Amino acid sequence: MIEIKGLRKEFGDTLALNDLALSIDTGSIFGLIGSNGAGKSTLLRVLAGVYRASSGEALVDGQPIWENKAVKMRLRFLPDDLWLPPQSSVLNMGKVFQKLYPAWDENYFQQLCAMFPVNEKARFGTLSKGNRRQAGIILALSSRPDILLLDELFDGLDPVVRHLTKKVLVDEVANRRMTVVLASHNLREMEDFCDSLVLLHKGGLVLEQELDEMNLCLHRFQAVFQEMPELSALKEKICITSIDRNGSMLTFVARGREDEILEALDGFSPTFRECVPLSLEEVFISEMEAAGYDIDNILG
Amino acid sequence: MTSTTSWDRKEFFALLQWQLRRCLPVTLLYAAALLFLGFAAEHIVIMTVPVIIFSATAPLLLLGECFNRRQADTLHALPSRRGIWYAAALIAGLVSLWIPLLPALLLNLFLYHLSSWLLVSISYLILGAASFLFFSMIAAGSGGWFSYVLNAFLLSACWPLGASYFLSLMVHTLPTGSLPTLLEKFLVQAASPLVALFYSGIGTPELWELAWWTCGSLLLAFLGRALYRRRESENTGVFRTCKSLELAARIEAALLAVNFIGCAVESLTSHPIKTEGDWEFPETLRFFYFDAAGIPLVLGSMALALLAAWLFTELLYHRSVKGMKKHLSALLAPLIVTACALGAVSTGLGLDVPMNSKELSAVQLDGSITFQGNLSSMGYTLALIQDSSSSWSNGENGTYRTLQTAVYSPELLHKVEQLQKKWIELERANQYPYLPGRNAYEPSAVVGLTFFGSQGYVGNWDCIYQGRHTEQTEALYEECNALVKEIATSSEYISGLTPVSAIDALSSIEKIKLDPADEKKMTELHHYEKTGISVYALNYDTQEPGKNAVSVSSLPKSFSDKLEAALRDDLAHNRFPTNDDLRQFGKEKKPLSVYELRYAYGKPFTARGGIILNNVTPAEGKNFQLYSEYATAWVLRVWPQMTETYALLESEFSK
Repeated sequence: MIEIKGLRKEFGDTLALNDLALSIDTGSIFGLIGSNGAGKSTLLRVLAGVYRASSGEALVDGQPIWENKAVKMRLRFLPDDLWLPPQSSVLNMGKVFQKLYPAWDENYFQQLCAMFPVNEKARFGTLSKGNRRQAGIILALSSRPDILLLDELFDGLDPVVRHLTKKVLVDEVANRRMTVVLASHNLREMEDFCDSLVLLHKGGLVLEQELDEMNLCLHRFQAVFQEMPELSALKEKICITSIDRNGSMLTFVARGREDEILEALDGFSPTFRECVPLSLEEVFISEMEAAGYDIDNILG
Repeated sequence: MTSTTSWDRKEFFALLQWQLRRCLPVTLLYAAALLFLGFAAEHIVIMTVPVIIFSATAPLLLLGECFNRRQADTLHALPSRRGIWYAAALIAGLVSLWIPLLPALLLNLFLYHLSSWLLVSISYLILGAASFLFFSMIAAGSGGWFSYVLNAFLLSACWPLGASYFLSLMVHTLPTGSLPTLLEKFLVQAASPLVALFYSGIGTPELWELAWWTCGSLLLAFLGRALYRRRESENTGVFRTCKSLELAARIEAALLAVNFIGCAVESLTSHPIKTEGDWEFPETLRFFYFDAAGIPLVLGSMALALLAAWLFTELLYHRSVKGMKKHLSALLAPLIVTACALGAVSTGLGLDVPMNSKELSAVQLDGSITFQGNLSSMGYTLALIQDSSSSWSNGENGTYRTLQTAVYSPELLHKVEQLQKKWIELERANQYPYLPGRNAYEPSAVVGLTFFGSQGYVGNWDCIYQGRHTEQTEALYEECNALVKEIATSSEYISGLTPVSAIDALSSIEKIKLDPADEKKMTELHHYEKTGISVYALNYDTQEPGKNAVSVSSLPKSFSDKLEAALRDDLAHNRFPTNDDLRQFGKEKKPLSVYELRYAYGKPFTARGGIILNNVTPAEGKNFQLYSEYATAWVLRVWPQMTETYALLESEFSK
């Protein structure tokens, strides 16, 4: 289990992580989403032991990560812009990692090399970005890590390899209870893949929920009125996060139970009303807007 | 189950192997350069170049994660402690440094028969390692390429330069016979492995230096490891330096600025300024005379230099002066160091004593005040020394010696010592504690004597008597002048001048007519010969004697003895053409008859006097062979002003 308590990371005058607290269950696929500069990659680097927290702590099974060899042996990190020695190959690095990770599984390494369409003898310097990422996945998974930290994993992978990667990761989670922490901007991918998600904004936690709960909590409604009600009166009754009016039709996203919101909406006598499923992207935008992210300004 | 220790060892060797592979491209280039130089370089000092280049570039590869954020993400996430990772990088670097260096050194030593080869080899290995560890430490504390280059430059260049300027300031401030060579060596080399490495290539290092640098290397490795372990990975690839390294670099830069400016201002106010073409000594030494304002002027300049250096390095490291209050330590530390150093120097450090007779092995005169500036022409004789097997050593390999005219009799040395003692007492009475800029007064009494210490060529000291214009300094000046005259006219001193000392190498004499027009051209061509005795070396085209030349071998032996006596007499009585004589000759239209005495390149001679400069031993009675760097003849023109010699030659040639 990963526990993060009051984690703070400063880069000079910039606050990258602000008093962050969360816990990640063993055997889950945990997604980190957030705006640019929200602190996702910084959090992953702290969890990987690359960065030292300015204050607070990040623990794996109760042990600190920074300069803790025993913890880092159980943990692998694939950064968004992965570096591998240009003169080495997957096979060369396999030999090095074999000596660094006690849980290295040579058979699994061979299997993965056969599974992924990447030349294991080719030098990293000659590989494309997608192939280098595949090489990174092979090397990471062959170490049989208990925790896998992935930053923009699917970036540069073609749909087939993406599918294969997901399958391999899900198998590892199912069979070995490996924990995956994944940061990405690709919300569609996260929606399909993650068990739970956190939304970060300006280094702080905006939302932490199971994915199913997240969809249950936020809803989009469409309602047609003969006589448009006062918006302020509507907002008093319903927790609206965003709203859009088009003639006699009102579309809004609201937080709460679906049946309760519909009941409150009926009080304003709509001629038609329905609840429409919300995509993760819409949840993200809605929550970010609630957190003060100036989306209208960004989108123009 | 694998034990932790065996797993650690396995991990360490895996990292070491990886690091060796990372460094391989640079190692191969370095090995090729070293082996080439080992074979081709006659002077072992050239081999310091690839060693320094390797030392500076290898950390860029071995500690690439200090410069590249992508590498830092990958490598710092690996399950190895940073200390282990750094140690693996250092050992890989040292292996890559030493393995090509050892055979190259042995090859060079075998080919060029260097003496004390064992000590030189060991010093190269130790100092090479120290250089590499020095740069690795800087890499561990630097954020990116630019900060690495900046820190490496400041930390390698500022200390030795600053220390040299400080020593110069110290020499100019203290009235002293000598500064201990060890002090200079220690101050300049002790904090700079690069300078120490360079010096180890040009002189045999001493055992204490090797011991010092062995400890220094361990210290550098330890400091580098400490910096690396504390290093924040987020600093990788950005222009940022760890605080301690930044402070060290800024202190060294400030000390360089302070000492350089102090030395420059002190020199401008107290020492000769070179005027066009030549040194004019001693009347028009300076543009400015600051007298008592000299001390505040020098100290004020040093304080301003310190402030300017602090501001400059603040902008360099932080690109803003907003946070300058936070970095006051970079101002205060060099201020305290400078204050302590100047405070120590002001006490004299026990060095304001005359050089004792044991240290003082010979005395030479300052060339600019004796023989009307002609000493440089005939005060030094290049000669090959005859070895035990009676064959001449090979001059082309640079094995010649320089013989210099000097006195070394105990009576004269004692007089010099006593005079020096009086001078120091007077200086102490005039201004104590000693502060830089104290010599800014008008040089009413300046006269020079140079002392050769027992350490030989590298340990000679200039000592210029200089003092405030008072009755006491006037008396000292007169006494000094009298001593200079006594030395310059002594038989011992005259015996060391080339025309006398190398008289056996005289091959031919020719009477020539000097045309004023030709001489004017000659003077323009060789402006340094505009004064004096007209000693010069003929070039390849004109070195053959003319048709009227008379070979000395055809003359009776008694003639050489008479010629030597006549030359001694003329030199002892300052009988040679002055500047005015030469100017007058240039104005006249009629030619002048002079004699040219040609001393032949390669001809053996038994030295009449002087010292062998390299080891400060008397040359008298030793056998040499006259040498010239360009294989040319050495010529003395005997003008009519040299009455004794001219008369002798006239009588001989009129027969």
